[in-house]
Amino acid sequence: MKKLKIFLNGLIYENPTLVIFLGMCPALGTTNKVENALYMSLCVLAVLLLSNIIISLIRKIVPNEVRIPVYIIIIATLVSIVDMLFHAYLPYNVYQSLGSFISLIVVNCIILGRAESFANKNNVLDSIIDALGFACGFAVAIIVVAFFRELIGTGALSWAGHSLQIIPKNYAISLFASNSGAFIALGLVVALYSFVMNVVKDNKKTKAAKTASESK
Amino acid sequence: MELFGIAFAALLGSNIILSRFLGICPFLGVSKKSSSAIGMGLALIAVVILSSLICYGLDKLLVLLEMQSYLELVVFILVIASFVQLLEFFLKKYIPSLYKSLGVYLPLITTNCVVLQVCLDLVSREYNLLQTLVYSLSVSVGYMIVIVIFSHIRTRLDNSQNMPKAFKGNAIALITAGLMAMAFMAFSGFSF
Amino acid sequence: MNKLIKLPLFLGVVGCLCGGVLSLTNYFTAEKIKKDEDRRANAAYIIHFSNLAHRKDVQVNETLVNGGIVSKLYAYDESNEYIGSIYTISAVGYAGKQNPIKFTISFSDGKPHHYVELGHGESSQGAAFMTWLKGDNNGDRLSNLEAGKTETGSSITYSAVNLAVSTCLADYLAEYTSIPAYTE
Repeated sequence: MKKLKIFLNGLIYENPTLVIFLGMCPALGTTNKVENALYMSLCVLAVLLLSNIIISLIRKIVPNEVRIPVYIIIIATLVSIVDMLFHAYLPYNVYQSLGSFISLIVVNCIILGRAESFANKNNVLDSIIDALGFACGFAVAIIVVAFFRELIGTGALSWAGHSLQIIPKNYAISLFASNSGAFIALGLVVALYSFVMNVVKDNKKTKAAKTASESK
Repeated sequence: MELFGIAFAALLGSNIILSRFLGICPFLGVSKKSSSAIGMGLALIAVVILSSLICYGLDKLLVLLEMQSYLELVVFILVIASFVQLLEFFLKKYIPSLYKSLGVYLPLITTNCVVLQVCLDLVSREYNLLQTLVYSLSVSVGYMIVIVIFSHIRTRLDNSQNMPKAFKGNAIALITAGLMAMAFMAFSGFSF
Repeated sequence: MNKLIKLPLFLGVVGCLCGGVLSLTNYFTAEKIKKDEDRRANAAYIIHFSNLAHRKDVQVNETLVNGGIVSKLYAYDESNEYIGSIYTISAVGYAGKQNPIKFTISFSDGKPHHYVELGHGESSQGAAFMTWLKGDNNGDRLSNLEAGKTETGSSITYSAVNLAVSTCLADYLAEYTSIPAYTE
């Protein structure tokens, strides 16, 4: 059960985008289309998983004084590799729209944060699950925002050049497809998430209070 | 005139936070008080200008060695990280008052997207030395302007009584940032 | 080993390892990336000459720039033989400098071959002009424009496009018989 708790931690309780607000830059910059958000979260998953594995493997032999530079070198190498592979093998139009956000994964606080606070203290299996949890949390958050922005902002969902117009273009609120719409959409999703979390917390509290008073 | 175009675009037209979505993490995290916002902004100006100059030189070296395309990212981020470390050490020893007021924000600048992005930009746009200087100065000043304005708005937001519980904190901050972005969109129509 | 040696040594080892992995990845991906780039760039020009295999970009001289030409290239086929020249034109018409009329025009066998409109500058006059230029048969009026001639008393847009095309034609006619085969 402890493994499941680690996974759910990254997905729900400490969701990087919606709760602890790390790695916000791609959450705003790559959410204009669901396709972009999906490929971005794929890159983050790859880098986070590999960096957690490697750092967890070498955690006992890295001298404490140089650990931050070592982590930075490893993460930067992984990001460069992912960038090169993306450029060569995945669709070019997505690579162009993601632009420099792939390179900016290197300064994404999620990766360095998890390396610092989890991977260098736990074994490889736990680190893998932690990486999966956080990457999934990030992915779910930005894909939801992207879906919201694309559907309401342009009225159509698109994938690899084909698009499906769901809401007629005249009724689409193009605010959400623009720059400021990114901020507003993310703010609304954060508010919605915190609302749902508060409701769940309150329910748990009233249930606990009820069982406590019943057992008296 | 071209320099003015670069400066205007970096400062207002395509502002690094509101148009290009970089440096958002400190934008949300540091802007709760205007004093910390000003401190962060000033520290960032110093770091961005100096690291962009160093990275300009390093890029020339890497191009010479023909290892530019794949070693660039690693070298840049190492340079930025060590430079911030050096700056922290230097401030601690020689200007301790400034070091204390900046507090925890100085090491945080390493993971600030703005610094790395400025270095990557000056490589991809092939700026010369003067353009690099103007560009890095305008970007960091633009960042500071937005973050300081935002901190003042945020202090008001945090003091308001009728905020719904779900929106408190970062949610309403993001929506406010969206309104600011709308205002700044007005600057994007200029062309020089 | 004391700390002063151990730490930089460790960093150096990690750095070299990572550098090695990076150059290995670069070795595998760089070729594919370059090939894709070339294919994408050529795609725009294959519309003009379907047997285009190589192209060579040429410096535009001052006459061409004054006429409104932005870039120029020679097209070669599979056997490295010269097919024709392609010019990219950005003519400033009625809509002004902000909305130029952009198109690429190709010449082959001593006469205009084909043109592709890139943008008519958000101006209804530009759009109407490009339609007129097409004539009844595609590119018909284009081949009748005499080299170096601009019509007086005609619209600003027409003069600009006419000047551009006739400058290209003059430039092409002057050299097309003597262009060498393609070399890397």
